[in-house]
Amino acid sequence: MKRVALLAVGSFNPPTIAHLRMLEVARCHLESKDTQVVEGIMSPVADSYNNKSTLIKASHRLEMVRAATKSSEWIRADGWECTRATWTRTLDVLAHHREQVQAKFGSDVGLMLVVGGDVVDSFTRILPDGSNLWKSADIIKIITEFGLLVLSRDQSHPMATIQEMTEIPKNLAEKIEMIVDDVCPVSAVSSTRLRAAISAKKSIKYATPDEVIDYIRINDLYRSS
Amino acid sequence: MEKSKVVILAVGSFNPPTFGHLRMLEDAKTSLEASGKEVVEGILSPVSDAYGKTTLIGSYHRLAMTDAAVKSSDWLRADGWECSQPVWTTTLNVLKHHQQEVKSRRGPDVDVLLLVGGDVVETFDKYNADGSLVWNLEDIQEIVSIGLVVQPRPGSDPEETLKNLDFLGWTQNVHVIKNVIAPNAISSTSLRAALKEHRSIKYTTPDEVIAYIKKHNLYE
Repeated sequence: MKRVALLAVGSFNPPTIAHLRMLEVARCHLESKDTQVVEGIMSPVADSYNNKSTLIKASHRLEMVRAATKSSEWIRADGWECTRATWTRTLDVLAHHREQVQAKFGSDVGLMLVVGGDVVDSFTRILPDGSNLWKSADIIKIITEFGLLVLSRDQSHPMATIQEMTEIPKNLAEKIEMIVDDVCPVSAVSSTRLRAAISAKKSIKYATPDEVIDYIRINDLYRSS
Repeated sequence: MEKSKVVILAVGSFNPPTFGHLRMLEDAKTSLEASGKEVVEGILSPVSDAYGKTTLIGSYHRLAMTDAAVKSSDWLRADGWECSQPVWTTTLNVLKHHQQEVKSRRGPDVDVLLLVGGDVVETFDKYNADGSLVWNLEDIQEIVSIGLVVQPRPGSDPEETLKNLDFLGWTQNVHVIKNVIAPNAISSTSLRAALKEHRSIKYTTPDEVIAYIKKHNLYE
């Protein structure tokens, strides 16, 4: 049987039920296709990712992901990426974790990247300085050397985005695994909405695990708007 | 001036309860409090078995799951009065029962508000296939006079329906929830389908509910 681990990267600012569902659905999808999922890794981005004022410190984001995954038997938080001094390209984060996963579970285990459809839409984003947010060579490597699972979300058109990218060979799009959460389309739960709710002192219960809510309260996070 | 105290009542199958049900109550509380009310309690009342849908599992289990679902909440509770009735009880009578019970326990100034989705409000002016109205309009008028909280749903316009029906006092007694944080797209139907196919339902309902379902082999 084919064996893989799954990697989810993001700000997790804070983590929500939607991030966790994405991994659950990816695992169900792979296991229905006779692939065993040995581990799920959630890796918060480092503080140097950008100077977004809304991004709180990585130490807190890592602890929140730890709290969020506490009740899971297979998903864990990992602090390698967010404790590095500089921003790390997703391709390098994947390479690091594949090494770790293979040392832990065996050299036959692959590592796949799981993303929301909105991340794929960002593949074509141009930064204010005119450079590309993503290098197309990186995207090609992620698809061919690792594997990409994309969770469809409302208002995102990942397949159309990929097909419009002339730098990406047409046959690569077929290698991308598209997944849908028909049990719980919670894409409407976003970290942005949660931050707004916290700063307005509104309840976020049942939108993220209780352990995350406790951590936010104890550390008085996201209170300044 | 002292804030007026209210209790929110949610009725439904809870077959099984999901984060959608729980979020609806959290959003209702937040929105009512923003409008100056104090929400002192939330009641989840599973419908009785006499309701008669074939997919409905025994109310004993549905009540236990609802109990498990609200375990971590400091203001919600499951109530078994409705589902222990041998016959189906109209929503109006469930509301009246709780209003009486709450007033005798908490005082006459505390009101009970019925929480419904916007899609339910839109059925207020709809007809059955045989030409009769889906709802008894006198019942709705009475529910409105007691108090109604409406959760807007995408594509539904509950305020328009209410405006057209123009129940006495609806502008004062109907509260439409503002600023929904996590729109409810989790349905019990899709959870049952997933359980049947042994797919994961983790993070769609509290872990306590999943543990109960597993222990009793429900929805297999």
